[in-house]
Amino acid sequence: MRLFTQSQRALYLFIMPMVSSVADAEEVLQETNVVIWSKWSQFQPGTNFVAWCRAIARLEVFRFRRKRAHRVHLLGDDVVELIASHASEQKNDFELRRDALAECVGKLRDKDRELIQKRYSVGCSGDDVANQLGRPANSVYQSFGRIRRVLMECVRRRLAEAGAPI
Amino acid sequence: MTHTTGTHNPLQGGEGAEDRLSELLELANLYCEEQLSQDQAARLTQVLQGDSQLLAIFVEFLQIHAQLAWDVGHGVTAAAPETPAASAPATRPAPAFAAVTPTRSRPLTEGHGGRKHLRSAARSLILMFGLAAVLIGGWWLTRPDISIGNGASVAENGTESRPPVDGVDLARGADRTGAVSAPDLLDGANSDRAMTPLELDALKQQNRIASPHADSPQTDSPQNPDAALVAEDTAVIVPDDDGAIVERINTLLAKSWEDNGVQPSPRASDSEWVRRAYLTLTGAIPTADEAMRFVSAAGERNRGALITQLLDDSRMVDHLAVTWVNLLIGRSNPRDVDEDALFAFMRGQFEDNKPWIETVGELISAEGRSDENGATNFLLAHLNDQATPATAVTARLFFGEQVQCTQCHDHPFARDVHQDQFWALNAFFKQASRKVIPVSAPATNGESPGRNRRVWALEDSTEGGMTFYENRRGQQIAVLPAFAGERLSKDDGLNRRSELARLLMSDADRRVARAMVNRMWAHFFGAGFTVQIDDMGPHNPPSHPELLELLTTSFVKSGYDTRRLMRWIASSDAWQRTSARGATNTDDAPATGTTPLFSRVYSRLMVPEEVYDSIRIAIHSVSQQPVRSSIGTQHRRQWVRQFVESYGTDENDERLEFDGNISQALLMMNGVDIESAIPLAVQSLIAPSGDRRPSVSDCLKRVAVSVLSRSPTESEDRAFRNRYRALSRTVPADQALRTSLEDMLWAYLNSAEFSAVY
Repeated sequence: MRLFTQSQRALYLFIMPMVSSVADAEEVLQETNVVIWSKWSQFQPGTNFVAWCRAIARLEVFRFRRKRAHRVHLLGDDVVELIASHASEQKNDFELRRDALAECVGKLRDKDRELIQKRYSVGCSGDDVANQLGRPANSVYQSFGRIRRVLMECVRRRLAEAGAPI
Repeated sequence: MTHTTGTHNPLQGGEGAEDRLSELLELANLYCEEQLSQDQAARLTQVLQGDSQLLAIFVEFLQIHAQLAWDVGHGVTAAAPETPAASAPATRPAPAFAAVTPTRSRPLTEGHGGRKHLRSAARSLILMFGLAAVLIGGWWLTRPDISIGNGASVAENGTESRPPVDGVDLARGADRTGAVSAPDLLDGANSDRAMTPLELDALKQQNRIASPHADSPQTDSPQNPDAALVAEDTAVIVPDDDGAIVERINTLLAKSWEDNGVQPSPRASDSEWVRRAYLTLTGAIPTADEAMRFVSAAGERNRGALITQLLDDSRMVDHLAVTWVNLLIGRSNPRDVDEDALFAFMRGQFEDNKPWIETVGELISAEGRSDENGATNFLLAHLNDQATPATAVTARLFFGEQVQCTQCHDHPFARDVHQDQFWALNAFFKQASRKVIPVSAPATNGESPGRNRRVWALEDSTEGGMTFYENRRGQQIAVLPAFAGERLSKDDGLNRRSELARLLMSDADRRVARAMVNRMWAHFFGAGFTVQIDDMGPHNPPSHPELLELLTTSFVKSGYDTRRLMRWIASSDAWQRTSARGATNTDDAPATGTTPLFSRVYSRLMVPEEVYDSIRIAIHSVSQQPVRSSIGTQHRRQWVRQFVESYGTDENDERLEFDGNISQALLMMNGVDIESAIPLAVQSLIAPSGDRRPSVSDCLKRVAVSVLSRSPTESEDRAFRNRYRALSRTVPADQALRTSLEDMLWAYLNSAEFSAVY
């Protein structure tokens, strides 16, 4: 059980790059969970649980895309494959990354941190934030781009300092 | 991490990688915001497939997004600063966060693969000139870094700390985060040519044309990051009414810079600015004397005064007229309309500073003979095939709207743009037709039509009636002329084009004003407020809606005064700044797809007319001969035509095939015998009749100022002297001097710096 809850976040991180929207990622995660539960008995204890779940999630992502084939999918299938392969090879340094990110967010200037809080509160999109602030959407997107980039760089540095391979 | 791929173009080296990275991050960000268009998605797919390093970065970026969504959204908030002491502003710009290195000088070997490769030419001395060019380029590599704004953002003013936006440097590690961004001389131009970097600010600092009142370098680097936004030293003096508008422009832009966390590039040096001003306003570089005169004159009023002077100059009028003739009928003139008459008409309009809306009205409603009424040539060039090309061109040029697709279907992205609107606009042109006039018929003003050109007549029938078009379901739909909400009735016997012109004059929705503002802004800054300046609409939101609104309203209120509009833009604080990128605004590069912030002026390539005229001016400046205008000359027209490839489509599309490679262009310049003009010019320089001979360095300086409007750099000087000395061992001193000067002149003319407008 503990395994399961711990892996949720990791799975979410795995899924997100392939679907882009928060809502879609959550849906795929739910679907994945259903399969995980139903196939629970097939898992070999002692082997890599997260990897096993990822494999399931990967299939769910593709199933999701097929289900929504009428919608335009932003990325091509080959690319999604590539992403999945790449992400599968990532290290399990989730704790470290999470802590690093937390610290990095703490280091943002207040305005930026508030923007992040707003943006990622449940159900809020970039446009919503723009409306709230009375700023043009494009400018808000740019701000988020900048903040995300900065955070990404910061996390990398933290991990490098901590000696973890990136 | 996966292996690196070999998709990098070795020629592009460092700069290409950074641009690709910027592009990727931009796309990834839009992906997170779910704002990716179809085209962008395709581009993103392409980028990710082609480069596994970028793919890895993409995944990382998305995972940051995912982590934030999970952590913040699920209440696992980031460590907010509970203890003010620990996270006080003073400690925040800790260098650990981002290694900013203000004084790191750029190592010679770093990332400059994009050196221009000189095409071979007939000149026997191409080797030496090639060497000179390489040396010139080499100098640019070694010059010290400019830490524009870096000192400001890290060192002082603890309350305004900000994590520098330098974080993009992922692909190359952290060592360059402090450096000024990679050169991008030609925003969006063929990057194979991008040998010469554009951090010309330091360049110009050193190489200002020596004057008693040199620009003080201190004014360029703001002491206080906030002051940079509305610095006194960038103010241009303008007449009062205009002053208020310019101030508003400055305020709006400053706000957008702050919102986006960038600092604008510093003020351009006078020599950078004077060249840009002449090129933008008159369509050619300043003569050496004009440049020197400007730089040596002192004072704040200098720039404002030059703007006023140039706005009144006949060259400005010519330049505007030529620009618009090219827009209206293109450069290749496949229909053989009377381009001279059209030019004369447009020139007259601009010379008298007629309200733009009236000019547009004239162009739409003109009737009569092509040689008598120049304005008719616009529609004559496009009337064809049920007047659909004319409709499309009219909408694109005057309303800034690309409607040609809506000929067949509703606009795919803009919800409110429908097929019937296209046809309703088209219906206005249905009465018009053109016919050829037999050449023997004399013109009513007594002159005979000249030059074997066909004479046309543009006439309207008086028939009213419905226009029919077929919608996607194959139904025939009837439509009456309608524009801006007003619909004409069926048979009122009106001349429809006149009616359209009349409706246009009211410009209730100010489309015409807005389109002109966007276009004019792009003319000055190198980018407009929308991705394509003639595709405005809900699907293409402007980057600065408030600013666009301000300028549009002001333009309307001024009575569509084109000159005033140009003055506002030219006097804005942003337009005083250099085109080089600083530390914080490296991503402000619309050519890579980002939204423009106008924190710097974007460079562009000269168009052929500008090249032609600038070459002539440069050579004449060397010999101090006056230059006669080349406007309207057959020779210039022919010279320009060689770069135009006509598509032969209904809409007379043509494409300009000019990548700025001048050596090729110069060689094609038959007639104006460049091969002999250069030696002659140099000869007059070194041995002027009567006057005493100038020194060797004065000669070099004259050449540099003539071509590039600046003094020679140290390495250029060195290259020149080496060449001179080497030659002097084998030939007489005079000949050695002549040859080395000619080489420098060629090298300068062939440099990327010359053919750029920045």
